[in-house]
Amino acid sequence: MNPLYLINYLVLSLFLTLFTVEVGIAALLLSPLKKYKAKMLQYLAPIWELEGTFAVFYLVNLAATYPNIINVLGSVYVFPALVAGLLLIARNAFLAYSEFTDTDKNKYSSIYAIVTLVIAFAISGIFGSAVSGIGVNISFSASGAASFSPNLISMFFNPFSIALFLGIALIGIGLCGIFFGIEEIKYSSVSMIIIALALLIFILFGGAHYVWNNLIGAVYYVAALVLLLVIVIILHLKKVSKAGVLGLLWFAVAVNLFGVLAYPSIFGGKVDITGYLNGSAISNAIVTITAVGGSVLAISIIYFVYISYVKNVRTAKDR
Amino acid sequence: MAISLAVHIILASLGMALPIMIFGAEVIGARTGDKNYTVLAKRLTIAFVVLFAVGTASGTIVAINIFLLWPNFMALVSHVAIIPVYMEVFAFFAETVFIGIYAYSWDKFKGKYSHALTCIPLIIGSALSATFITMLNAFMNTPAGFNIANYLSTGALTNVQPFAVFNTPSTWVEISHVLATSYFAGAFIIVGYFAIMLLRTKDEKLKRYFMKGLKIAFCIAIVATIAAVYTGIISIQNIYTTQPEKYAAIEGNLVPKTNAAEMIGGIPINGSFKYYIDIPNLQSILATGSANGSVPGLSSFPKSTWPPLFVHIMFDFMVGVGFAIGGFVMIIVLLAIIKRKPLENKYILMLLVAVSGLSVLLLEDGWAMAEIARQPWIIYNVMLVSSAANYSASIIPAGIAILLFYILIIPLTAVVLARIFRKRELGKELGK
Repeated sequence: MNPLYLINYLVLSLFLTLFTVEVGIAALLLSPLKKYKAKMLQYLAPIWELEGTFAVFYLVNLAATYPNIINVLGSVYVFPALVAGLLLIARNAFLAYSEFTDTDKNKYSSIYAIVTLVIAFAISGIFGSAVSGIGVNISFSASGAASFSPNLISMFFNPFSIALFLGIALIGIGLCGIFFGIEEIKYSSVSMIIIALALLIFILFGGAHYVWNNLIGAVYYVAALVLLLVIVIILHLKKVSKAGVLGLLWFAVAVNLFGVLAYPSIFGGKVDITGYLNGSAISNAIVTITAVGGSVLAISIIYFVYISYVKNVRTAKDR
Repeated sequence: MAISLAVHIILASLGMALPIMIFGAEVIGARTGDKNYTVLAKRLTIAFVVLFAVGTASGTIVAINIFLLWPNFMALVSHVAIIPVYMEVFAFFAETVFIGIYAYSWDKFKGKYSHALTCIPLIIGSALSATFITMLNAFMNTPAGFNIANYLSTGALTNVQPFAVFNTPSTWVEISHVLATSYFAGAFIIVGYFAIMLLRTKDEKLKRYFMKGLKIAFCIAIVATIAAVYTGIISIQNIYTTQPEKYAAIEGNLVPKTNAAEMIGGIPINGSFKYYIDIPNLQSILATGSANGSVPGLSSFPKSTWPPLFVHIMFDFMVGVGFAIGGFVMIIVLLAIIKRKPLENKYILMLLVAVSGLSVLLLEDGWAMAEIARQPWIIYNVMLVSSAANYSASIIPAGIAILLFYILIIPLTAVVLARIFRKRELGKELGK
């Protein structure tokens, strides 16, 4: 498997993992479970900006990895991508407003939640159409060159994309239930994740059969993931505090596995993505910079997590 | 694209100047024990987090715009010049990680300056972000890193050198001017805010607070102004060498000449300039160091490659207003040296508010001029704007959506920030 593809998909999976949890938070912020609101916003406060940066990282890495695909993306996804980008500004803005205001906090955090769910719907549509090919009209010339045009209505309003959105939302809520230890949805968190997985496997069978076929061939990986999920569920039901972190890890690995299974096809298996890979001297530089920059970033994030979530506030005695 | 960039560069300039301001305030507060400075650092941090939120997302829109509205341009850049853009993401990560640490961990550090030190990666990250992105713009002006002749004749990209884009003929000159002018605009926006607050506030304790903020911001502005003027001069000398059509257009030179006069003013009418003043030999002296030096003229180039002639007006505005602000800043410095306390003068504060607005106009004008004067090229002598663009019909509604969105979100951000600070009574935080 091409290392550029792996790097690109790893970045996407990191973003999708963080964003899925945020989707869960957004859904729960709109629910009657108000007493966990402060805890969820406290988790989000230092991290939301970092999450958006992973989205930018993915975009830039995509251009560096598949330079010849920019034309395709430009013609097919320009409108939904720009709308999602604008909504990202709104998401950032209203979350930032809610952090520092007292009187309008609920209003701003609710708007943030709604905007985040709409972004999730947009991303589901874009990602879903890239996987399934639904909403993208592809025609091949006699020489084999492909041309692409979008059908925006069917891109977003089709069973595959809608089911993908619901699946992401359910997994997000389920993971939040585990991560934040939400008693009221202790058991339904688990069932939401299981229902979401069943839904996603079903739509893969129906809408992205090439991924389904590879899934059958990767039975050991799938078994390992199922085992990991079972461990997460057991730890969650036993109220072990690390269940949430392990749950996030499980999801990150699952999203990564999906990328491995889909390789090298996109658009319903009709297009081989390796044909668009960057073959110039840039590709070696990308791998090197990612290794170096990624290492520095990893160390920074470890320090960030330590300071933000582990290190205690200094008391008056300490000062 | 233009709308997104016009909004983003203002937010980015503030994003560069504010961390320096915040760092300075916190360090002075820790050193002197003066609570005004600590409160200043904390309140500016809130503004920074909110503006960073909107600014980074607007940067994402700019990135999406570039990738999707200019696909042929990005396809070429992705093959030969994407490395600085890629590295910019890591600089941006440094900013986002450390803004999370700085803004949310005030009470988690033991040493007096330990927390302030976490602001340094923010300062470096923001400067590096601007540096790396400007490298891409410099590539557009002076492309390098691949066999251009072969590309123009065959369309094939050969002899790609990924890191050549770090050192094209215009790279470091352009970076120096972009950094200087970004700090200039960002610092003066902050100066303008404190000037307004000083004019409005009657309370002496609050006036002392705002004056402290004004002085820190003004110090940054002084350094940035000097740097902006100096780097501006070397920039125009660089353009003279590397992009002669651009130089000719911004100077209003329709024909090449020696002993060239500097044309001040001038409106292009029917292909020639009218209503201007000439300063004899000055252009030749500034460009070449000699009154006999020759300067390029547009007639030496095909008319199809001429930039629009109104860029000369934009250039004159930028240089004229820039020098006027520089002179004004020097007057304030001189008055301060002879202990006239100029920043306490009501009229100087009013002028500073005006300068604050002008600094933003200068920033926008400078960037617009630089881009328009490269027309019709998106990559100079390599790719035309018309060849790079996306002609998909779905762009038009997207463009309208962007415009409407910014019309809503920018004023809303200003209103929310004003409400946040109104609720957080400054007097209470200062222990009034």
